[in-house]
Amino acid sequence: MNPEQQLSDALGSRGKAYDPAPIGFEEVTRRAGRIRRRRLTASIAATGLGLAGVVGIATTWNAPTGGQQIPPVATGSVHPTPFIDTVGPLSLSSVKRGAAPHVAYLFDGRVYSPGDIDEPLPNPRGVTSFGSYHGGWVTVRNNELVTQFDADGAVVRSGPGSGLSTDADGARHGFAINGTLYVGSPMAEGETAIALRSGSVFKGFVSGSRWIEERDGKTFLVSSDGNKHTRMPMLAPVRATSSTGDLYVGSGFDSVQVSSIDGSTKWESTAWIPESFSPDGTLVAALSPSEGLAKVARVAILDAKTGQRLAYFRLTEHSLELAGMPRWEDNSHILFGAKQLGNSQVALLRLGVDKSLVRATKVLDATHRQGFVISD
Amino acid sequence: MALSVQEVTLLVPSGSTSREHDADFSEWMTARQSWLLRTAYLLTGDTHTAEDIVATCLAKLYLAWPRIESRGNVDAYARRTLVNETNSLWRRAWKRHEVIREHLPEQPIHHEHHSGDHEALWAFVNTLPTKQRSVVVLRYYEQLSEAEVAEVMGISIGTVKSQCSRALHTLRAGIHTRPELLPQQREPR
Repeated sequence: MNPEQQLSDALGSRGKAYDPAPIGFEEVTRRAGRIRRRRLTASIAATGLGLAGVVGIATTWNAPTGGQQIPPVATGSVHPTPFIDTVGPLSLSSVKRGAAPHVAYLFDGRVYSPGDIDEPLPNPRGVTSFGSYHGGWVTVRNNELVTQFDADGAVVRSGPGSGLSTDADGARHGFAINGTLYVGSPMAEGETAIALRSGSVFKGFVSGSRWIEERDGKTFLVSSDGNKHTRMPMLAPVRATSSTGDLYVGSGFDSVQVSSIDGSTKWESTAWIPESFSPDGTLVAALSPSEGLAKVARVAILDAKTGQRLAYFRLTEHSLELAGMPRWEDNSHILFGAKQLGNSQVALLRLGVDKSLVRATKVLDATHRQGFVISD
Repeated sequence: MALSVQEVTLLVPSGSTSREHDADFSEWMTARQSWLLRTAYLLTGDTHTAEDIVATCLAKLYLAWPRIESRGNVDAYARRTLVNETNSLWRRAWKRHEVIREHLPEQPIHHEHHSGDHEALWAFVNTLPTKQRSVVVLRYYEQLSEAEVAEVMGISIGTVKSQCSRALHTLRAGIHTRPELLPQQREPR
């Protein structure tokens, strides 16, 4: 018998002896979801589109009212009107259908990811923000209970906290649970745990892996090792940070201010509430509250450094209401959920800085269900 | 609250995985995963690694399923993915880490067909470099032609030939030090 035949026989015998346990379909689809998220994360990192927004902010803004004199306010726009600038009821089904979302979103307990993947999110009730972490998930419920799940949906840790924020290179997520800041990759293993000072609330990353945190109603810029705390002027609570633009949004007496971490206020507004910065930090998604600040009238894209309005979409004037906080899909488009007033129809809409508006999902029925939550 | 068919239909966003897609893939997976697992085991020499690689391979195949136009090429696609996964094992950080398990390491796979020369040859296969081992498994277990091996691995036919030649040369050299590989020197049964 020649060596080739010997090899063939030996390998055949060895292979025949191996009686493997079957791999289940569920395991395959779960792993497919993780792969899809990892690919998405990699593509985001490769194109410098690291997510930058601090999340978990409720739609309603409980800013106090008052008559304080406000510095120059950026509310006007020299740009032409957006794609849809008419008033009157607008049927979601009449909005032109565009591409499916390029980021994952949560709807009715399931996470829908690019690549035709959907999978259940562990304990999805009340989730206000979520993202992938170590191949599993981190969720924030009701803006205060943070839970990390492993890839099989088991709870790794859970407790009061804040998050989720992505650092400047888009490679690491940070969130705080029970006074400890955890920083790690969405997919790979490895984690840094830093004890926050007593009473501190992690608000989000800025450049150099530094972060903004609040303590006793004050705002601090914290060095990457957690040791150096620099007091920032006013501006608590912080609503969003930009890890790439070194900007953050703070609340003034009856306005919001966008400031640089060097302490200078870039602009201030009584009309818009900036909610999340674009991955490259140049733009910010904002909401315009109405009816006593309880409802959102408009969703807009503003210039992050000047507050200039670049594109917006009217909600209330189209008989629509917000059904999902705006999040960035890339550096020039935001996604947000919209619900038809008077019925339970919802859809994700995509607004571009070029003033385009399309529908990113089919029109869905959201009866008795929460709206959309777009991944961070 | 149970959802009606209409509600369920409405809840599935456009572009979601279709039932036909899942059923089609599941059928293929059920029929072919044993083959993939055995090949993966021979490529890696470890059952846990084989199962992990095949699960990843199946997940990637599941993602690509709608794009695989010709179902006749699924096996070839799967085989290529499997080999690529195996050859990229070294990149995985976890592979270099010790894995803590609840149970004792798996027992060696014993089979009545395992004769002494098979064991010795298996030990020899386990010493081959990754690429050479892949060529050997595809050529002598999968019984692929040199051209097919080249296609699967994305290398030239010449490289397949040279890798096979080196493996067999090593084997022949090893025969001189492993008398059990020589039929004429076996003990009489």
